Amino acid sequence: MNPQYIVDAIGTGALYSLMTLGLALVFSVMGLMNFAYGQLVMIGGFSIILLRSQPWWLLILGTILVVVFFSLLMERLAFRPVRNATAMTMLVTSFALAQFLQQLARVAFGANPKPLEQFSELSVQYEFAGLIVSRQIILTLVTTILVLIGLALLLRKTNIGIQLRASTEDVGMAALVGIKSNRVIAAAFVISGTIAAIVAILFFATRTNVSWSSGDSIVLIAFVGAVIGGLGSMVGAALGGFLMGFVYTMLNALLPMELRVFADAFLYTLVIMVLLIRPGGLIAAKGVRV
Amino acid sequence: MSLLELSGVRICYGNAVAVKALDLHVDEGEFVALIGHNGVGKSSTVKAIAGVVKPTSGSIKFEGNDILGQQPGAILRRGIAVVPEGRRIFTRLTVGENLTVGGTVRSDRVEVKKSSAEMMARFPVLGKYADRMAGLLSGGEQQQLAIARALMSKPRLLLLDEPSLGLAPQIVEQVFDLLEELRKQGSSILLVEQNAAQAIRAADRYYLMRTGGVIESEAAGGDQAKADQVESAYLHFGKA
Amino acid sequence: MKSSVSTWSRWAWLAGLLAVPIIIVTFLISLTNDVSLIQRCTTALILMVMVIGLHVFSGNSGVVSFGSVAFAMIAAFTSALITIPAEKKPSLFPDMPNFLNWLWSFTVPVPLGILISVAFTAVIALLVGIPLVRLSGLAAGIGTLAFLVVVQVIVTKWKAVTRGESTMVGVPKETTLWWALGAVVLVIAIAALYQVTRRGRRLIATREDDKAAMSIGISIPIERLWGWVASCSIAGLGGALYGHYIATFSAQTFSIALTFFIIAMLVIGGLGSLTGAVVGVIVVQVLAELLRTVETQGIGPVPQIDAPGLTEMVLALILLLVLIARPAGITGGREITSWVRRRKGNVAQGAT
Repeated sequence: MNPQYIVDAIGTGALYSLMTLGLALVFSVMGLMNFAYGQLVMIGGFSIILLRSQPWWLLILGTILVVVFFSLLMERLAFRPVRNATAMTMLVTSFALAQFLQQLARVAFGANPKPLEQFSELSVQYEFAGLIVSRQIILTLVTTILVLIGLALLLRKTNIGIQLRASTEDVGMAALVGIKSNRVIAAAFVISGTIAAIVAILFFATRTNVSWSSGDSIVLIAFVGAVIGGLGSMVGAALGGFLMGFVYTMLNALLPMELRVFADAFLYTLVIMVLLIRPGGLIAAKGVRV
Repeated sequence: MSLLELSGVRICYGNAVAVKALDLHVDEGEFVALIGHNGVGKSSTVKAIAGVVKPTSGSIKFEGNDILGQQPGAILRRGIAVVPEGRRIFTRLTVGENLTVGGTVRSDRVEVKKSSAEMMARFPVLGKYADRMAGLLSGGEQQQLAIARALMSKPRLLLLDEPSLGLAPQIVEQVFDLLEELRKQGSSILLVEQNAAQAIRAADRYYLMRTGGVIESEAAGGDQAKADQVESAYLHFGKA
Repeated sequence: MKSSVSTWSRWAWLAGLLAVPIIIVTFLISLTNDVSLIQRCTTALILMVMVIGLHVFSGNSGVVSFGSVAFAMIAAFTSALITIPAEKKPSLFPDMPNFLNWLWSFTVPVPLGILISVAFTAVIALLVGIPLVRLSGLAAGIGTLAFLVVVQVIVTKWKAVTRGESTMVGVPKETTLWWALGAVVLVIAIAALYQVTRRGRRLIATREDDKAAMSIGISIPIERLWGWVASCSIAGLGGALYGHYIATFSAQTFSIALTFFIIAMLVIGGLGSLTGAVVGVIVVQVLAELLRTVETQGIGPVPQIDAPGLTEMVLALILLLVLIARPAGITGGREITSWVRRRKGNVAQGAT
């Protein structure tokens, strides 16, 4: 086996674990599987196009601000009114919202994909011991690790982070100690939006265009990754997302040529098997509503 | 004026009536026990005072202000802290973080840190395991943490729901010692308990509740004979 | 005997109150001779079959399934493979693997093809269901979603049998308005029968209180499996009818988007009631048609607006508003019979 595949698989896994984290965080606080999360990444993609000519720091900052704005907006306008409804209603609400945002992008930017000028500085490649590593992979890995550390610090060292974790475990008790759920949920959407923006930057750095349907595949991966990793556990979510990306890349590399087109089918069959063996996910958090 | 005053409180869940008409009051600095069997509406009463369920009718006044129908956070801010049934500590937070979270309603973070240190001095076991996940504590330790967490908000009234449930007798003893100590320091306490004898011994006054309302209210005040008498009468009710 | 009489009368009321208005409206629409209106009505009726199919499992059990479209897809392709005229098959499927060569030797009439494909779907549903019904909550959602993805990938990539991304063509186009209406009436009757009789009531009991249901000896996996197989078979019926209606289709026709559209209609109508399933389809379809009319020609004072995606965008927005205004759906999960009964009660009270 060519060890080069492992490098690529780790890169994809890291990106997928970020995607999953953003989705899992909101789920753990309010039991909402936010199907519109993928559309946040799509919105990030379009804001990258609009900000492409700006200096890199402005591009990053602008994209984060735009995505966080939309993330907060969806919480306030769509999810707050259905917060106490069933999980199914919340899920369908997020689906309707995803459809709305997607079609909005289609009306605003047209049905054809918008070309995205390549980030040539990211395609520079290095060689380590025979392995080719692109700057893009290094950037993805470093960013993922930084985001994980940042998130861990935020959740452990800040008041809002501790309140967020308390709400994750027991919403009713959190209210009894005076934690304001509106504030905590808004915080979760800010963090989730920030992660979505970072994912957008890393994801579209390797793409040549952005389209109104760009967010679909992302949310599917995050959705599945979060559930097989273990709902309510951030470590589980990161692991679940990573495995989705890693296994998928490895399947694509290792399956015989004639079966390679079925890589997705193998991946999702594995997903079903994981769920049957561990319905609560690989790292099951105690007392999580599923 | 009483610190807490409930009059004609009626609580229903759909068509089921949990509490018919409840009158009850707690004065400043008083330790009051509300005793009764499982299912007589004690927990519903606690939930109504804490703002978790909304009574169908009646009034709940705290320091003269109507608090009925307010959110749990608002009621806590007025000064009623709850130690809920089953403790409900945050098991995946450390002991220290549980205390921090208990001080959420106080604005001064430095003061909260100070209170947290005080709690750890007062409950040595909490200080010892400050950085440990709270879920790893024993039942009695968790109960201490739940009480300490409630005290972190500097409440005017402490509301405890079945603090002795599921604890070994000597641990229950400790919990009651702690409550008496708190009362001596001037805290107002409303204790809801099935453990009648012990609650009556400890409390200044008690209410005996039976399916939906109070049937007896008397001063208890550490009177051993009285406690035994009620205990036997109470057990009698239980068998009826 | 009394209880069985009331069961039958409850069944007749529920099925009748839902089916009769649909039959009348469909009949009126057929009288208009408006080809495009009749087409839309046919599509709506076929979708209603699929939504009722989903209701039979998800509505009664409370367990999410994203898998129903997978079964619609399986049935549509199965029926196509056995009903495409034998003489066309060699040119349409030049690479058909040897073990499936027997498919070339015969052609069945479409109604039989639909029946066979529904039976085949039921068998697949049983096999897949045995492990999947053990999952609950989101794990069930993801498990069934994963199954949908697996079926989609296989159908898309197994070009020799499914023609892959180049669409299935040459499928006999025989589904009419009346076939679709017949199927809707049939599945309403089946779904109503299921939920007023023991079998379905047991599944509903597991939704209401799983522990209590288990304590009176109800086996949750077995009840769910019954509901699941019935549900997937009905979805298969819808899929086969759809295949013979549009005649050209591919795996993309049976997408995750269609899945969510079906779930959305069910939830908007009101998850948990058959009435909700029917009402959800009608409301969403009527709205979609009104919007499409605006996009193509305008209605009254509303001018024609030409922007691709606008219809879908406004539709999504309206769905969102309905969910926010009525999180439990339009019917709130109640059946039409409960309203009628209440009205009768009111009348009686008024008389005294």
